[in-house]
Amino acid sequence: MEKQIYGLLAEFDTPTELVRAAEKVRDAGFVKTDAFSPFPLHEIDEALGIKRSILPYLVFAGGVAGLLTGIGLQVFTHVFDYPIIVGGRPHLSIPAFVPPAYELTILLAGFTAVFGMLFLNGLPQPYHPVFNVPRFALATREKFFLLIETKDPKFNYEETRSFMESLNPQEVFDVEE
Amino acid sequence: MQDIKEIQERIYPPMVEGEHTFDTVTDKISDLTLKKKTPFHWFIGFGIAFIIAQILLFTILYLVTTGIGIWGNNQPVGWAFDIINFVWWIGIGHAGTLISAILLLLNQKWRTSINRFAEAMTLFAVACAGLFPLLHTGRPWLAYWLFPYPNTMGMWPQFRSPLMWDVFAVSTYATISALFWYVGLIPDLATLRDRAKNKYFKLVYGLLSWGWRGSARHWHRYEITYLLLAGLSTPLVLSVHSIVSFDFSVSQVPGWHATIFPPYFVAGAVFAGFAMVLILCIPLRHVYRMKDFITHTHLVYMAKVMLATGLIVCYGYAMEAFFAWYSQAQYEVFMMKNRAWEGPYWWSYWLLILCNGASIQLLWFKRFRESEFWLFTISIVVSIGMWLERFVIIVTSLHRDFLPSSWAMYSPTMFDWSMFLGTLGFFFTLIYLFVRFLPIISIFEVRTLLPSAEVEHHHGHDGEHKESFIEQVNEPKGETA
Amino acid sequence: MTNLENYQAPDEINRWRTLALGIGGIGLIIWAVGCYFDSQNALRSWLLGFIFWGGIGVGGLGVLILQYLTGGAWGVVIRRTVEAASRTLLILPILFIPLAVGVTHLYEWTHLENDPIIQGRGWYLTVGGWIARAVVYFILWGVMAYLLNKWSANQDKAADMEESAKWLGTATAFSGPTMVAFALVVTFAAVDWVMTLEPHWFSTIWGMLFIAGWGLSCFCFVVAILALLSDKAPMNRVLGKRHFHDLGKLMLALVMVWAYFNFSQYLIIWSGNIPEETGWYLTRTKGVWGVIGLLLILFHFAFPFLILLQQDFKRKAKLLAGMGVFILVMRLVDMFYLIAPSPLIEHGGGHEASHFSWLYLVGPIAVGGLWLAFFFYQLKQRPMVPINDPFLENAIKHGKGH
Repeated sequence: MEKQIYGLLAEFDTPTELVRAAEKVRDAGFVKTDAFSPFPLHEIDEALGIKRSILPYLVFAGGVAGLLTGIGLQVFTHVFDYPIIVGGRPHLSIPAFVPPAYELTILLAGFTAVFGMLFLNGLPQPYHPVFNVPRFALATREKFFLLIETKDPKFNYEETRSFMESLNPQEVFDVEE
Repeated sequence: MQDIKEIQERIYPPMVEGEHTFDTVTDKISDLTLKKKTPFHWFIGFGIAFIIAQILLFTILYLVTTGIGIWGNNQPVGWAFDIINFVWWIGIGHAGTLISAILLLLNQKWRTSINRFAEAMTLFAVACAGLFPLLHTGRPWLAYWLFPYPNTMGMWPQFRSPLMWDVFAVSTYATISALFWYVGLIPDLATLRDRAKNKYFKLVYGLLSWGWRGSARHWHRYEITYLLLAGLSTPLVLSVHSIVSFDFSVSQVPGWHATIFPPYFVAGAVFAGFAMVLILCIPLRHVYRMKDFITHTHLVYMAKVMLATGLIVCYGYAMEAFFAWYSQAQYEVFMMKNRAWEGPYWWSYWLLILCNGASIQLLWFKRFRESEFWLFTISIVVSIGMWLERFVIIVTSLHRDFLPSSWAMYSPTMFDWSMFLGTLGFFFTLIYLFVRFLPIISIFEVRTLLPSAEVEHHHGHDGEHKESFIEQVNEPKGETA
Repeated sequence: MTNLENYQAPDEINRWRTLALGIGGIGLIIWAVGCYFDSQNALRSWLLGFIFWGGIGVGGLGVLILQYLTGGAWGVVIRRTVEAASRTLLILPILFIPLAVGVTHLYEWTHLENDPIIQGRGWYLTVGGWIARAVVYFILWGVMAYLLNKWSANQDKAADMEESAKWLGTATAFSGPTMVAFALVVTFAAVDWVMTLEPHWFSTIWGMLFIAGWGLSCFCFVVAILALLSDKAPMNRVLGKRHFHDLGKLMLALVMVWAYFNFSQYLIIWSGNIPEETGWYLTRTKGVWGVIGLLLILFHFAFPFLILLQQDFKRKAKLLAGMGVFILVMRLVDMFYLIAPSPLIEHGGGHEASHFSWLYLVGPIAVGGLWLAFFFYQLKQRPMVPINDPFLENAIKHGKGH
């Protein structure tokens, strides 16, 4: 049986080389691309055409949900469900309700940030074809990789491979499914 | 141009010393967990900490089976060692969040090599702190009653009480700190996964890293999340210690009821926390040869933060004393006199001033700031001082309350001490385990500090950048002045 | 080395100076007339103007000290503007004269010789002690502002980078201990000038409220001035989006700190509910004062907070400056809320409830015109950026970045 190819992976030594190569790949019209680096690179976002994530808006919504939960919970329990005077404070003790509502705001916003990020990133994902390339283990150490997937409409094995080789990588690998 | 760079580096030295590249940074830090044989001193240290932690276990066992009467708490000093230790521990935790969150927002690069273990310190300190109020309830197995859930008693927790605010604040704090720490660990866990030779280690780190592969899209969202978490943690950490201070200040007890308490407690917490970070990282950088990453400059910066926060704490003492006099309110005046010279605990107040006020003045001088010995010593003195501060606030304010007939003295019992000592053992046990099994320095963030992490600009742009600003201004082009 | 002329503020500043002086002069005349009819409210309005505008100057000194301690690009680009603000402390003693002369019409405690609490404070709360302390505050502030300004000017004259770095080092070393002295002076000044309006009331967080509040005033003011200058030479070559982003973040942080301190004070006093303190808030949460308090929560905190949370907003200089001016107006309302509800003195002791007076508008305008005129005059005196500072070039590059 013939091996299924997921894409082509090029290895680079420095972040600058990766960014330059990514720019060329973008300019050549490839869209199903990705880059891998051992630390975040701000320049790559522009080079690959990555749009700003919607995550901040989700987190804001999470915070608002937490705030409303906090206010709702306290008003419901202390004003409607079981009104009782404690310590001479009125049923609706707004100043005293601020701290718990505040904490819940932060809690839900924080949950949204972390789990939203994992969800949008599709993690946890223990298996991914790029892991099949043995050298890829260095992506978490010191090497930089650029991927073009076969799914890309412009992908053509021979042409794409020679195009990637023209970017001066250390090496170009076939990524098996 | 060269001499500008030199001057700049003299004022702000680089945060990574020695000749390092991405791979040497990775190997040096990850080898501690993966390659190196566990050193003998680790076993010794861990063993001692572990034995002391057993004291905690026995104390808790005896406490739960007998009751909190084994402590020295009495009337009117109903809050004593348990709350002192709770506030002390939770305060220590705050420096971790400060280093990881606030310094990240302020773009302070020196946070990078100390944030990981400072955050670990936060988690472990909060774990120790949580034990005290939990056990002070007397029946810790019913602690879930503190959470609002519909129950057969038809009752709700009392949200007007600062103790309830504490439940929300401390549990939120523990949760968010754990998430922040874990999110920061994910890329490093992936590094460990890819570098581990041992099959089991590889599996565990693989599971924990959730398949992280360093994709640019992932990094993009990851960085946003990290910044957002920092933005959330900063007001969180302020609120947590403010709420702890509300435990006291929303009451009417003189010595507790002061409007300055929230910011003054927060500053005190960070002060104690930085002292603990210094206590941990001074030996750590020697034992594990991490001096390239935890440089001299790091220690000096931490000393400066300690000095600044310590001065805010001293400002708090000054304001308490000044306003007690200024108010001319009889209870306030009495409280201050009782605290400082008329009461039986006067010595604790002056010891506190000595530890927290006088000792840190040494940090104004370069000689002390740059000596590891003095920094370590001052940090220990400050830790003691911050413990005494809570002793002064809690015990001396309570033991002379409004009703002279109920005045009494307080003295801790053996079990008060064993519980406190036991949490120290517990804390260091966790620290030792952390040092053994996880990277103590954030590897991926240290990589970003290296000069080679800079992406060089396009040649087209280069021309613009190289032209000095000064020259541009001196030859104005079509200026309309 | 370099030609300092190229860094002077644009000549338009002179027009603004004349305009401010004109408005201030007219305000002063109206205020003087008002003083003749209603000396007590007129003096309070002068105090309001003095605390608000003087606060920007004091805040300027505080921010100047702070930026030496923290470093960072924002500090380098705003340094000369906050220096000009700190030099306005020179005319503060002159603006203080009406208050010193009218002290017995302004503060109830000057008539409470038989009150045990006032007696207990001894010489501290007598007219003599009060004025003597003000003199000490002005001298201390003056020395701090003088030295820091002098060393910064020395940087401009420095022969080379090495010498310039030396003056920067001197200013930084001086700033550490000076911050301590500065915080204490602000605290005691805030107690003397504002807290004693209610002779019995006290709150230990008071000094911090003013340190943060005046710092916020200063940042808002500086952002507004820099946005005005950002498309004119020389600042158009200096300021970038990222500088405003950083300043916007600091504004946001201080808005939050302001809310935090105020909420802490309110929650603690509300919960304790003891007679020594609660009266202060009792007046301020009833009727019209209560509405103003609510407006402060909404427009001194909630609205600016939500707007400043947005990243894109902070990067647009003009929008951010608009927000700065808005917050400054709310700062004025905040000061008004602290000063105006305090009980008025009836002649021959005793007091009556306070009420609104049109005069409250005149004082801030009169003081503001004079203060701004002096500020603009000072701003024109020096290059707009510390040209020889070893970090200037980095700071400018930082502004152009992402």
